[in-house]
Amino acid sequence: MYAFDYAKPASLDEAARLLADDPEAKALAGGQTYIPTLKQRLAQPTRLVDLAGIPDLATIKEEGDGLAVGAMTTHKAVAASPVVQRAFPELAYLASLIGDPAVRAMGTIGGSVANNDPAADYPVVVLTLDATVRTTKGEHRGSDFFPGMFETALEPDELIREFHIPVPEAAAWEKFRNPASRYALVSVLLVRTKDGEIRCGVGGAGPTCFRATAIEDALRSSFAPEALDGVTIDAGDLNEDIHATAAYRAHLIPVLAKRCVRRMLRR
Amino acid sequence: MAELPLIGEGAPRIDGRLKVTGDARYAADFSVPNPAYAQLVTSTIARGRIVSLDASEAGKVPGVLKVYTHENAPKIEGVPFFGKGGQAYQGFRPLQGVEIKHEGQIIALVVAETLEAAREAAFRVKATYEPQTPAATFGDGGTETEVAAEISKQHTDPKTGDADAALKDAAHVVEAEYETATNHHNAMELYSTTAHWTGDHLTIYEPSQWVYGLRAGVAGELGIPQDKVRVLSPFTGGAFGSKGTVTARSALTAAAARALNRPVKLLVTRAQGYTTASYRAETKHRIRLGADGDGTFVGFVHEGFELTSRPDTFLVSGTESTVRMYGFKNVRTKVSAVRADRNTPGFMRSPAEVPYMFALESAVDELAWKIGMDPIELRLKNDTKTDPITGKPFTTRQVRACFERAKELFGWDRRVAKVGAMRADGELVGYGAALACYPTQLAPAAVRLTLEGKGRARVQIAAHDIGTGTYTVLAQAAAGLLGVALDRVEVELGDTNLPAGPISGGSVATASSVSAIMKAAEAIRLRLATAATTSNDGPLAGKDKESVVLKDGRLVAEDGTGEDLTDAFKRLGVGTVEEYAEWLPDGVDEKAMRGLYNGSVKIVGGPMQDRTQFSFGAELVEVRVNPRTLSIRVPRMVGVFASGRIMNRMTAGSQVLGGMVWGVGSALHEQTEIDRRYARYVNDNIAEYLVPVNADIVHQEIEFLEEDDGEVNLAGVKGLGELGNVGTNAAVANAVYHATGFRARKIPIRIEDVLKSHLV
Ligand SMILES: Cc1cc2nc3c(=O)[nH]c(=O)nc-3n(C[C@H](O)[C@H](O)[C@H](O)COP(=O)(O)OP(=O)(O)OC[C@H]3O[C@@H](n4cnc5c(N)ncnc54)[C@H](O)[C@@H]3O)c2cc1C
Repeated sequence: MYAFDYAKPASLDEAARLLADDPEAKALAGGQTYIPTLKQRLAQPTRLVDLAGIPDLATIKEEGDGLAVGAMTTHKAVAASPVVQRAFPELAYLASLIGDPAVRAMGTIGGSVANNDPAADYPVVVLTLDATVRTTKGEHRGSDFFPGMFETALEPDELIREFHIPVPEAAAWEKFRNPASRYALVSVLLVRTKDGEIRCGVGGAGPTCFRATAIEDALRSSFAPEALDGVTIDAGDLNEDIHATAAYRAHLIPVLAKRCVRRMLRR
Repeated sequence: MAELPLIGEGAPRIDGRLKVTGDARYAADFSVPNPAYAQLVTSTIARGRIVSLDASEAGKVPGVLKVYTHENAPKIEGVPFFGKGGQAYQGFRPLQGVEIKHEGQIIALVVAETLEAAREAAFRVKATYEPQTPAATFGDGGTETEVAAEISKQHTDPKTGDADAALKDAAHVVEAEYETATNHHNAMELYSTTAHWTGDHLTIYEPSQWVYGLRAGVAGELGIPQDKVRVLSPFTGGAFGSKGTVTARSALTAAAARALNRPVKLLVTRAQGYTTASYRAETKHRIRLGADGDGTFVGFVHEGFELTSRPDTFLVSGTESTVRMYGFKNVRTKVSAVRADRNTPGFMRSPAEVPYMFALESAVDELAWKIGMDPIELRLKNDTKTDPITGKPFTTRQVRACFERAKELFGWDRRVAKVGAMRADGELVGYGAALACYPTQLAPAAVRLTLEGKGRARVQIAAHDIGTGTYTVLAQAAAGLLGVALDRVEVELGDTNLPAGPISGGSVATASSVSAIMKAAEAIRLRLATAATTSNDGPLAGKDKESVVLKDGRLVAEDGTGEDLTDAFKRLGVGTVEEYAEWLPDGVDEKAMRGLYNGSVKIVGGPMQDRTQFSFGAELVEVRVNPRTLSIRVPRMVGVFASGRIMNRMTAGSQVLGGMVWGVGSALHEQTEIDRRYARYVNDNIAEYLVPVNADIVHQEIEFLEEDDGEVNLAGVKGLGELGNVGTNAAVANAVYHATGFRARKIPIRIEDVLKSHLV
């Protein structure tokens, strides 16, 4: 890694100011994505602004119709939280499947969402449930937070403070994992919101997470696995790499969605 | 002479403690005074020319000492390609011009005060190219196919009778094409070179399977006398063929160290190792194998296609082995080289046999199904005592005994001879068998052996321990021959200041080194025995000196009378006896010893003038295939081997055990993926280059048969480092067929290929 400055501010506002003062500075959360990025020289910040010294960013609370989760909450903390396990057990399950124990112990929900890796898991949650992203500059809606691959609605000097995640009526998370990295080859989050709306979010498959409207439409008329029998997803816009072709990813989406339906019906 | 047992004790490695405590010094561990650190910069195109290399940004990184490019690189003399009798990994020298011959070619060398600065600067070197469309692999436009026998004087295609005519009349014929994938060695230890000059004398620390070759190669490239260079490589963290030949980095690092007047340490990243050193190239095979009504082979045609680079013809020519496996009456073979824009391939563990035996042993299985015969029966029916090409006898050939014992250990009689007929725990079960072989090869070796009156011994030889257990087996040989305890023997390896040992390749190391040790030990015994038997007094006076042996720290005659070593040494009037011995294999003339010291390789074996010598083995595997996901597992493997005298049951066992694990990798995991658009390796790291892990290997059983082969060499030792991973790939593929009816003619076997097939 090359030389850079390091700051560990005591408040989020100070952190935001450091970023505003220097456009080449960059925030650091759990470092699970960013440190490897630096090692590979894919980024060259002048300064790292470490968020680890800021108090009260790693909290989980019930709040209205959902959960308020601080940006610095680790995957491990979400998975183990009695609050999450009671209010939204599928979210705890999702967190428990991220990476490996080392990644879960360090990686954070804020870092995951801010990074918007196409294969990341939390962005699917934020998008599908239209969570509120509370930042140092205001608020964003999850439904228009992810414009493209590794891109978000955040300004360079804008930091995520916490998420408000509406808790659905029912949910199922299915992830087809790469056996080495544990990242999703494809993931599907199927929910029935408190207003009875069916939503289907997809991760891992495209440049960024998206809603599979064809699946949502099919399930709206009949909430059964068979309803998805004829549903196909266009492979045209999907990702392709040494692990899977675009066609395979397209194939996996209804397969995983069916599994979600079955699990939701069983409960 | 003292006798070594046919199957030696399983002594744990004498260097085991050093390794697990981190005290074993690998090449990059050596500290040199005030080192500078070097980093390679490699090309991002596979074919074309460098238009410009801008090192200005790189030069600004604090701590950078020098950036060498084709414009200012030290002049490197070409030494010949290994395949042409030299030492070089490839004939082409990078950094001597603007030409780009393959992706990942060295285009600059950055030297800096720290490793970090070197890496940072390397990252900032900017190249612009004039690229041309590369040909990446078989089937790409721009590849050139050449017939090996027409382009290489060393190459002949083994042939006998009229195979094509015989196949026309055969009752059963299998005609098929097989393919094996690109593989990289991926030794745990990365490549590195440390060069340290003191005056006009150069010391190189580099992981090596051939220190004398490295010495000769670097001296040749720098244009300095060989005796001005010392190479040290006491421990090598895995090599598998990748650290045998001399790659471009060594002389470049040494030249940089000379120019900068300080030691330079070059560390090559794993990804760079994929393109700046060798690998196993992909191969293709066309096989025709025919038998008459009762399964007797009547004809065999094996055509091999091997990928090589534009500048070099590297061929493994495994037909030399396949044609000798059975009593084929008529044989025709042909090997072709296919040139593409790739780095030159090289030796990788059992270079010839892994791909070529996959083709043969798959075809034999296909034929067995066609005839409706047990595949092991078919193999044994066509066993032969003589080499089908030369008509000469095999020194020893226990193919039948290996299979029979393996069948017993495996429980082969439970096999149901029908596809998809065996199931367990809801999964499809398949049994597969294959023959393993490796030609017994030997090379000249010299050794210095020392015995002290106090009962301590020392072996000094520039052989190598590439993780194989050389330290231990050479200590065992010396201990056994000199009659001292194993822990009283010290072994020094991997240093050109020692007597020249053989290259650690072709499984020659143990047999050749032990033969030299036997010769030296005999000279020591004779000196002590002569003094003891010709003395006027003493218990051995008047005895036949030939009957006196060294045993348990004593010099003893057949009738048990004897004396302690201390007394025997007193009689000689010395505290230490030292003998230097040079050993040459049969059929090698004396000049080869000088050649050994000068870095030229002479390996003989396999088919010889008067005999043919091979190690053999039988490998049986069980696979389980999940009928829904088609995932393939190998819960059980049995290997029975006959490989001459086994020096150490434990280290030998580890070799073939690990070999069979490699075989599973070859069958199911290992493949370097190539982006054909750019002729670029994609998974150049050990996260994405798959190898078997513990969870993939469940149960393995290994046995060695006793084998007394007095013909191969003094010690009766045959090599076995490259025996275990031969045939395993075919055994797995054959078992997959038995389980599913899917015939894998391309490895590694991928689920998607199985999916595409019509299954039971
Ligand atoms: C082996 C491995 C396996 C993994 N597997 C998975 C997986 O299965 N599923 C999955 O979802 N992820 C996976 N990850 C990624 C992991 O979850 C990361 O933790 C996560 O993507 C980034 O979080 P972080 O806290 O480590 O952020 P960092 O790496 O520190 O930062 C990432 C980016 O986010 C920015 N950032 C961080 N915090 C904030 C904030 N509060 N406001 C604004 N910007 C911020 C940083 O500036 C940086 O650009 C894996 C990672 C590894 C190494």
